Amino acid sequence: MKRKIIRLILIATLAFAVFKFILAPVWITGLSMEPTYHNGRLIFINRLIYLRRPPARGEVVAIRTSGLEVMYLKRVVALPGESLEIDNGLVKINGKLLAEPYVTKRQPWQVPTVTLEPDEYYVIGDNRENDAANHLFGRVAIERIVGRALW
Amino acid sequence: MVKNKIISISIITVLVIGGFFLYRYFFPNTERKIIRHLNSLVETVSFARSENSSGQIATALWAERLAEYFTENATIMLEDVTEQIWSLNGREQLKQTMLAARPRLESLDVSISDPVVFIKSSTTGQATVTIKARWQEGELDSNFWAREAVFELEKRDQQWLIIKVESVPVIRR
Repeated sequence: MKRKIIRLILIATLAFAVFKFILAPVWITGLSMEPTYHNGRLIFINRLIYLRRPPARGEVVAIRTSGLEVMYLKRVVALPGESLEIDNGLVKINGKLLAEPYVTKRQPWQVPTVTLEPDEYYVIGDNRENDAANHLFGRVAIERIVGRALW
Repeated sequence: MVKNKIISISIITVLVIGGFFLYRYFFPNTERKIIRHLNSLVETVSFARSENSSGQIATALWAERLAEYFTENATIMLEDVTEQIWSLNGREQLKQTMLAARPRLESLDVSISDPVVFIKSSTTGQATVTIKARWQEGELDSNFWAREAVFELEKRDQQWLIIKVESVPVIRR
C-alpha cells in the first residue's frame, strides 16, 4: 500500500513536471491554422526544442502573450534577415516563391516587401481563405516563440 | 505518541498555510490590489445572455460603473480583430461607446490572464496582461479575441484608476 502511494506521488510529480515545463498542452481556439489544426483540438508544444537550435522554416510554433495561458499558433515562413513579400497570395522569400503544400486555398493577399531584423521571424497561419485583414500574421520577436507543435 | 506528533505538525502546517493565504487576501500588497482592480473591471464589463434583457436605465448604470474605473481623460487604444486600432479618449467617450455597443451584443465575457505588475511609484503602476473576450451578436456563432495589453494606472484617493490601455503588438505586419 505504501509503495503504491509513493509510486502514485512520483507519477503525479513527473506528470506535473512534464506538462508544466516540457510539453505544454494547448487547446486550439479559432480557424487560423485550418486545415492543419482544427478548432477545439488539443495539441502539445515542445518547449525544449528551441533551447538546442533556432526555429526553422515550415515549423508550427507557439507564440506567447503576457504569459502562456493564451498563445498564438502560427507557421514560420521566413527567417531572420530574410525579405518576404506576398504577391497575389503567394509568399516569396528573397524574391523566390515559397512552396507551401499545407495551404489548400488562398485569397490574393498583397503584402509589400519586409526585411526581417536579426531577431525576427515571419509567421502566418495555414488558413488563407479569409481576407488578410481578418488574419493575424507578421513579424514576431524570437523571445516570444515558446516552442514547436509536437505533431 | 509519534502519530500525535504527526497530527499536530499537520494541523500547525495547515494553520500556517491557511493563515498566510488569509493574510494575503485581507491585506493585499499593491500588485494584488491592481490585479483585483482589473479583475473587477472585466467582471463588470461582462454580461450573460440572461442579463441582457435589462432596459436602458440598467445599461446606462452599467456604462457608468465601467467608466468609474478610468480617469476623466483616460485613453484606450486596442487592436481589433482586423488589426485596426480602436481608440477612445476620455470617460465620456467610453461611456457613450459602451452604451451604443451593449444593445448589439447578446453576451460578453471578458477576462484577463498572466498579469505582470510593475509598481513605478507609490501612486503609479503598470500591468501587462492578456485580455480575452468572447461575445455573441444576434444568433451568430460566438467571436473570440485575445490580445496582450498594457494598463497604466494612477492612485487617486486610495483608489487605483486606469489612465491608459494600449495593445502590445505581439505579431505585427
